[in-house]
Amino acid sequence: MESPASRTLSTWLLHILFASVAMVLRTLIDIVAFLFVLLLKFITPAPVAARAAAPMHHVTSLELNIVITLQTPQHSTGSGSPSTGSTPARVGTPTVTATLRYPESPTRHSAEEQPPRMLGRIRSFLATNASTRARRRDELAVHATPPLAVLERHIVAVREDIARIEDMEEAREMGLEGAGEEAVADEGAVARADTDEPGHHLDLPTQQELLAQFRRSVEAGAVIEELGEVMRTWRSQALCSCLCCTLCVRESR
Amino acid sequence: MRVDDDIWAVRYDREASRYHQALERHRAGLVKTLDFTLSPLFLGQLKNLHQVALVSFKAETVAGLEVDGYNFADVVGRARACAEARFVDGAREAVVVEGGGAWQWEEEFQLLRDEIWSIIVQLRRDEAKKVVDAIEVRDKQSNK
Repeated sequence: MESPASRTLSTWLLHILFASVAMVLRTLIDIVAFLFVLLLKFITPAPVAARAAAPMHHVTSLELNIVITLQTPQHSTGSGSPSTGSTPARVGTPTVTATLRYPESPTRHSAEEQPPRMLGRIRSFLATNASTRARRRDELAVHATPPLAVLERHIVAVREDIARIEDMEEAREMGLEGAGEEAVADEGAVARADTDEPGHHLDLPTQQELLAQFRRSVEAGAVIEELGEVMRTWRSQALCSCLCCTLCVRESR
Repeated sequence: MRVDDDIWAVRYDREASRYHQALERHRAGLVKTLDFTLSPLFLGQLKNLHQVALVSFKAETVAGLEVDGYNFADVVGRARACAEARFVDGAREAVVVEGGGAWQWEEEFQLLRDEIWSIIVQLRRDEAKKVVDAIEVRDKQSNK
């Protein structure tokens, strides 16, 4: 059994302990509040530079602002009352207008006023962005998709067409050198390709003549040997010439 | 990043398909016009092959039947096979686009086979009549 004196002592010690804990908690709360206020003051934008039009004392706070404007008589609105603590006006009788303003958002003026802070923000943003881009690049390198993978099948067809175009161009140059004819203009070829009249897609005159000759022979009842090969050649050349002219017109633009 | 890749792939495909669709549309119109231009040649070639195959069948059959000791079935079958092979080879060679709707020759081939069969039926009837006449002549000669 404990004595009443020891019980009183333990109660007193317990009271002291609670009091000290409360003081420590209070001190911690004060420190946190002070840090929070400091943070808010750091985040709060700086006051905008005074406009050149009129002298202005701009008070910025977290709440509403009170702006005391000194105006000349010809521009006074008369809505304020004379102030005892205001600075004397330079021209005429000074009138004091008290207006309430909300704290202004950070603008270009505030950014110009405090370049070190903005530079620090920009630098941190760039560092974060660079790290993000580097991480994304690494992940993209892991899951890299070739940029032309989607159009691989189209590119194969285009390459085949380009090869045919080169062959056709060589054949045309050889034919034109022999016949001494001028090359067909690209725009004219496109215009012919756009028309729906049959036979105009075969650019070369010799092909048109051969086509007419074959048509006459067929109508006369003759079986033409290798007609399919000739028609396939015509068709592929016409398609290649169409693609070639389309590409040429697109490049010229 | 897989989602980003998919998004970029979709965007890339969409941006590229804009030009690809225009080119495909242009080419489709051109192909249609070219087929419209060349299909009369193909159809005329089929018709001429039909006529040539029929003529060759008739000529070969007549030539085979003029030989002594001929076998009617062999002569007709050989001539029919040659005519059909000639038509099929010519038609396959004249096809510009394999599997295209405008380049079908099977219907014309069926018409040719029907005509050849009708000719064969006529030839068989004539041959039967000729055989009957020969038998009757032989019977008359034997009765005398």
